[in-house]
Amino acid sequence: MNKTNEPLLVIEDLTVAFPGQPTPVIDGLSLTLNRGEVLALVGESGSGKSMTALSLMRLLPAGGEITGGRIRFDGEDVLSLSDRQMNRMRGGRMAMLFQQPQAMLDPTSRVNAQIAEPLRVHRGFGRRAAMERVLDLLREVGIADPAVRARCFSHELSGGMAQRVMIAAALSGDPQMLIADEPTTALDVTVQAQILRLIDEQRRKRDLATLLITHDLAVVSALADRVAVMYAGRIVEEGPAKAVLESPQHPYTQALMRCSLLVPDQSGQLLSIPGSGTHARELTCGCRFHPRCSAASQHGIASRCMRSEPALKPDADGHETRCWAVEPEKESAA
Amino acid sequence: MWTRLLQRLLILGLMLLGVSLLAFLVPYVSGGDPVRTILMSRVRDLDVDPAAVEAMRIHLGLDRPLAVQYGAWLWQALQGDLGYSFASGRPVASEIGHALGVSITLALTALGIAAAVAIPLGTLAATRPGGTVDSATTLMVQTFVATPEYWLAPMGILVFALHLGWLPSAGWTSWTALVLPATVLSLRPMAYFTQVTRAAMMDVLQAPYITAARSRGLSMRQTVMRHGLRNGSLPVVTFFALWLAGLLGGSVVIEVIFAIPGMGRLLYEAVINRDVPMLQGGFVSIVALSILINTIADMLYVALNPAVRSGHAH
Repeated sequence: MNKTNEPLLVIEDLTVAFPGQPTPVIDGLSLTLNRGEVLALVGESGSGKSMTALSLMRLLPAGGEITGGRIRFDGEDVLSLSDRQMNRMRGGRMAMLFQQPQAMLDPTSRVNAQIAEPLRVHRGFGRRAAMERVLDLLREVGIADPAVRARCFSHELSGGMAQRVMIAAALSGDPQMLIADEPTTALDVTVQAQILRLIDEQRRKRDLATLLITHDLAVVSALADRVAVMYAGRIVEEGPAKAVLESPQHPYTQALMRCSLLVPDQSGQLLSIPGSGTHARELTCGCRFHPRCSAASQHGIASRCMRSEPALKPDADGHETRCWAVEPEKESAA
Repeated sequence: MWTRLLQRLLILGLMLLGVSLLAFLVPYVSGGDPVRTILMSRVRDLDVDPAAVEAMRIHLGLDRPLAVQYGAWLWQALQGDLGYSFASGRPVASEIGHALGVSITLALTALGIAAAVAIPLGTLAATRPGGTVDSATTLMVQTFVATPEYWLAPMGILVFALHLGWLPSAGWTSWTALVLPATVLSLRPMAYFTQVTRAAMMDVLQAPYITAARSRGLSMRQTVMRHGLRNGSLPVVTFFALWLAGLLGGSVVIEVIFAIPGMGRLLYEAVINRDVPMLQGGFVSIVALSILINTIADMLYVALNPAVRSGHAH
């Protein structure tokens, strides 16, 4: 493996659009993921996190199209790979975990057959050798009685068990990068921690770069090296996990933090961000968060927020924020 | 699973009982006097001696109360004796046995051809909706659904039997005689199976587990073969059974045109001859067989679908 300092994954200005939708679901997104690093992608549902993940795999749902930008993975231009090259990439060099593990398993196919697929298509295992390896993998992901479980169907597994199976299938192709799209959201609270621990354990052992998609800031603080916060198809804040969590700069990140603490306010109500982000993409000018933003009015910059969209500006420590409130008045001339 | 099966069998028994009563009564309700018909056909005279009619009626047991007749008929039917044909005088059960064999062969061949074409074609159409194959398939489906068999069958005979001389025009003597009728009979189910497969595959290809399979590096083709076909062809099993049951007595046109001694033609002639025992026996046999076929199809559906197998139906 190429151990250079060059990041494993570089996304530049990625734009994804669906026909019939006036604005792109992902709009000029840039991210990097270093080797062995955990980057958390955070945001509300509908902010474009999952679409980002599926774009990397080039598995967007029907109609979805990457209309601009570049994706470089380990020196290769992902968007210009042929279908055949892309098949080798998927499961072999980048693997993915999903939100609903049970729905992700073919109901008519046994667990072992599905885990064995990357072994057989990417690593040239024969049937028997693959089945042996599947048992090892099941053991590695903490499944007791692997010989029995290997012959199960998805409906015979609990959610946590199904996600362990998906992890085994993801690891079986020995990838360099793991994309985990809300891997614990659909699971029982007690199981969530186990699955996260398993993912963390395995990615340390295998030096797996991990793109962790979540809306749970507790998960971020436990696992992530860096965080990118997404709102309405754009990155609004990005930086080292510690910096972003301890001193969030963007009003949206701050609001997310306050909401996730689940502390009631003076009137005894749980905090929530007023309004909804579903139509934020349709704003044609100004900051996409400004209709829901409290900082805009507090700082008396509401008219600027309405007029033009701020750029993603880094501070001295590489902590980037897309907000006028963070940039003092001097910017108004620019 | 076993309680399910047992329940099912019990319901089937009750259904058959009801059907047998219907089958028994229908010829009586439809009017006309079978005894007169038989005698007239034998003596070829409109003035039949009333004494002869009466004697015949007693001989056939038709003078007894209906309930008694039904009881006796049912009891014998349960032992495999469906009486004797008024027309030919031969045992109904053996005539039906022969005809059913012929019809099942014809229907299975036709449906086999239909499924063999429809499943790959529907799958292919579903993988590229709006593509060339899909458009051609839609055209084919519409053409086949709209083409009547009574037109297609004579055309087939004209071209392949009379003009080219490749196949026999009628009869039931060798497997070559099966080719033309089975092909003509296969076109409509082929059209429907293709549509069903296409719709089911379109659904299946949207399923999350297909995306997951692709994320493991399977090509589209491998994904369809390993995870699409089995899930997508499930509905075809049900349709196959429905068509099989329908064709057993329902391919009258084809059987008459191609002079095939099958169930459709047997019943057609029984109606014309007012052959009461043949109608009763034929009706009951076809219904019983249809129920059996559908039960087998249900079992097969369950066998192909592990989630239903252990009672986890969604």
